[in-house]
Amino acid sequence: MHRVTHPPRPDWARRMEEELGFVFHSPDGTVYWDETAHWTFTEDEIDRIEDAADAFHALAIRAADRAVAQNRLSELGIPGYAVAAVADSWRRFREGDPLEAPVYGRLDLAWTGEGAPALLEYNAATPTSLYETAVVQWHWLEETHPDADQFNRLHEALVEAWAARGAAMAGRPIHFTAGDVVEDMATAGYLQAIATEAGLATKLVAIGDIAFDESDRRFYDPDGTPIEALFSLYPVEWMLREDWGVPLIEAVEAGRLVLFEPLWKQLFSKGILAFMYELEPDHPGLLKAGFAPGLFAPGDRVVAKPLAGREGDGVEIVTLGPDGMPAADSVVRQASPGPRIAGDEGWVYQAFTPLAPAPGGHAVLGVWIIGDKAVAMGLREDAGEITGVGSRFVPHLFTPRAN
Amino acid sequence: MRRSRAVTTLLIAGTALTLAGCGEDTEQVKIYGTSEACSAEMTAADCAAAEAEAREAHVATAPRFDSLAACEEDFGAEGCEPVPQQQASSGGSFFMPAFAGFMLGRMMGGGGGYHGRPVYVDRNGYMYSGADRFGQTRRENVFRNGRPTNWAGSANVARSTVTSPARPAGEVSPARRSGGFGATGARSGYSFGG
Repeated sequence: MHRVTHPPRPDWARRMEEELGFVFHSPDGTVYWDETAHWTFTEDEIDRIEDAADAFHALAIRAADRAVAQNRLSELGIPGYAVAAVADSWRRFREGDPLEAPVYGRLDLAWTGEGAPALLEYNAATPTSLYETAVVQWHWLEETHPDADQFNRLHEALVEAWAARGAAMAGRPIHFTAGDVVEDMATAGYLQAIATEAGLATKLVAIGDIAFDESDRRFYDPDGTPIEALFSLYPVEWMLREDWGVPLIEAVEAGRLVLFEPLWKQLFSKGILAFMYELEPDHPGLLKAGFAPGLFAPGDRVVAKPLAGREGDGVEIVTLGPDGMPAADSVVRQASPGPRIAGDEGWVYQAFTPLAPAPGGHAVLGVWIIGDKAVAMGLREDAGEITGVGSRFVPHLFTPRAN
Repeated sequence: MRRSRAVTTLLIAGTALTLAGCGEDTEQVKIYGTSEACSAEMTAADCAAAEAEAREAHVATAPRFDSLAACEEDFGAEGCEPVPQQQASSGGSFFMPAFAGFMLGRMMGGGGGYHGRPVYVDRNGYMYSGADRFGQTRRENVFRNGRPTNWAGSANVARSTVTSPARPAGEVSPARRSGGFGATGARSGYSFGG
């Protein structure tokens, strides 16, 4: 894998806005979509990334089996009142209920091209950069390198994933919701368009516009239509901690509401990394992880992650001193654009691993899992060591094997 | 080849994305208990036309209750009235919230000029248009001796509220409220995902 620099397409910003509806390429005037460079891979390298991602997903499923079987859901930051409902959702999924099957997720991998790709985390419920991966970098490839290939079957795989739920939905509409910011509403709108293409009835509503009726304990959209199925790009673990967390769980348990991602995706908080490590400490690329920093030795470089952290929020990289505590002058934090939200729900600690170097920073590989299969990749670059909300999206391609 | 081949569908998805990204329009509307209160600020002709339009929509679209008690539980002792005989279905929905006033704005309904929509006030003072709650007022300022009075106000309402007068005319509970989700991610301008 290596990085190639070049001038961007002339007039790329206006064209992507008009032709693709990609309106959040430069939030606050900073570059998010960056086509002054791209990453190239060989097909062998893509195969290794794909195989590693498939294996990490399978291991995460086994780790969730372990967490449920051992009644350890509270260690994953799941509030007590939701534990039984999350476990029920998991059991239904394992029994084959199509409405409890996973739709999508993004594995963040650290890889320099040498050794096994390492798992940084599994963003399994509300992963970002979906549209950029599925549509924008694909559009870039079509125009600039029509003879090259790209690890990107994301759009079709999502259509297939929604189509597979069509029969079980039996014509019931699915509401798509997100926080009321352009990037999230646009991405929710894209997911809605995909579900529509797959033949489902859909509607888009901002999270703050959802209403709850005390009398029938149902949720409603602003047109007064009851919400029977909800795909939320707004983090469900946040919803569980807000005013209607209890009625939300109640409605799911009573069958009044189908939730996408299924409720069991709460198991895939960053804490799942600790269960994966318990299960397979020698799994290639799996970093040492646990719920207590005592797992590590003085001198170790450790990453502390809030269980429900997002976009690098709250993540700290520290070096442990002789007393096993973080050495004060060693702490690296993300320069956060807003107040820290995550942290109260608990932490997981993970061994530090280097990322692929990029000019002035690093790159992380985001591999998309649809159902249980890796289907696509998007790369994010950041000047700092913690990939966050300001990290740039850089397209990729690979050279097909001659055969 | 691993890459997508769905050229056409992707461009269609892009179109949908543009529309979704537009956000929801809001309009500043004026709210009046009576045409008299309205005509202090607007022309008498605009006020009368908006009130007439609102009263017509009121009869057609107000939520229905099958007993006075059920209606008064939500809208208070002076807040309900019988559904006119010709509008009442044989099934027995006989009461609806009283017309407490009307909202007046430009974005409602077709054509230019001002349009009117009915406004209801529940016993806690929450104001509704159809099933949508949009504000709160002091209820005692609205009903005096069971009659709407010369009160006035203004509110920012979502376009969907004012352009969709024909809410389902079923039973609507003022207990329905929004805002219970979304507080955690109230950092403006940034994505909430991971």
